[in-house]
Amino acid sequence: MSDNFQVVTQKLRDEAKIWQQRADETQPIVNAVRDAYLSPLAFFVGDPATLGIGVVNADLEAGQYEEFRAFVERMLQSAVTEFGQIDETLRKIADEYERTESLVEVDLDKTFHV
Amino acid sequence: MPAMPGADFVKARLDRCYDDLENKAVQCADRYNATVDHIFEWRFVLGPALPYVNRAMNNLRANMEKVFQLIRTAVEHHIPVVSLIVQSFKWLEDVQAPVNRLTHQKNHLAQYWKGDAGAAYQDKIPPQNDAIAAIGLKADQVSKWLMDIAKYNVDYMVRLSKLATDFIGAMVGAALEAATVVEIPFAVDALATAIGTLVGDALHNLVDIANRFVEALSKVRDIMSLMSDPKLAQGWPQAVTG
Repeated sequence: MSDNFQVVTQKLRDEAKIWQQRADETQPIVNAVRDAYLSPLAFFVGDPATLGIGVVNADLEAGQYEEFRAFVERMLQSAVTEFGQIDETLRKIADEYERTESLVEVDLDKTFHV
Repeated sequence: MPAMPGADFVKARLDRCYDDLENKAVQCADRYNATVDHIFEWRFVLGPALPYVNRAMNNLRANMEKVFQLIRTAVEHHIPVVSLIVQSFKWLEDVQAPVNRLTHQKNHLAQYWKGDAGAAYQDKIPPQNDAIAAIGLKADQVSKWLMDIAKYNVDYMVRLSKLATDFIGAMVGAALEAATVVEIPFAVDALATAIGTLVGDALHNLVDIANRFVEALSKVRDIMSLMSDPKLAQGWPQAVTG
């Protein structure tokens, strides 16, 4: 194994580590979003009925907020998975390079999404 | 770093409006009842003036009950609205800031990893960064949206708290429970009129604030646009076959 080749795989492993750390840093964000639920009562201290401005409530908007919150939670949870998979893939490629001592062996279709 | 100084500040402003709010309502009710007792004691002397006095007292009572109802609803929603303030800051501090730190920084890997696989990998980074930026931007927007709503809630409570203070102030000032029988009809009428104006003005302001709140609330649609963002339309962008 040439010295030049070792530099490549080490850099790849360093890069993999960045993604693994990123996955670790994303999980607490997912948890924060999960805790961000708000009940329809949380939007207004006012009393539209007594104020005589009809039946105003935040039910619809609270529902939309919850949809948004759930969407962000779902996205970030998939991001955790994806970051972890990028880490794993880069490490596998590094392993493969070291095993075959060749730079041309990675099957792009099997490795990366188009 | 202290825990969310911003949230604490806004929460404190809101909480201050609740100080003594229910207490003032109780004082108003006590004053009202004392006046009713006082009038009752003099009912035979008041005689022909009694229907006139009763009308003014009923008017006063209707306004008082309206204010009590506003206070009751505000108290019921106090803690939930505090959670809205807290969440507004959480979207900023616990979501937006750390999400933006997830952005993949440029490095020299491309120089150390040449060839098709290296290039294919480099191609996968921008969509990840774009998705991260899209979430960061929306976290910022949802935080601002909630803060806007919180602001109208604080405005509302500042006004309601002033109304409660003015209400009890007017009742104490009128001192009906100590009025002489000659003074009662005029004093009751003057107080009922003053309270009517006080409550009318306050309701007018509160309706204004409520309408501005409704407008701010309707901006939820700007937040919802994230869900049709092309950067996330297919879910989180897939870089590798996992």
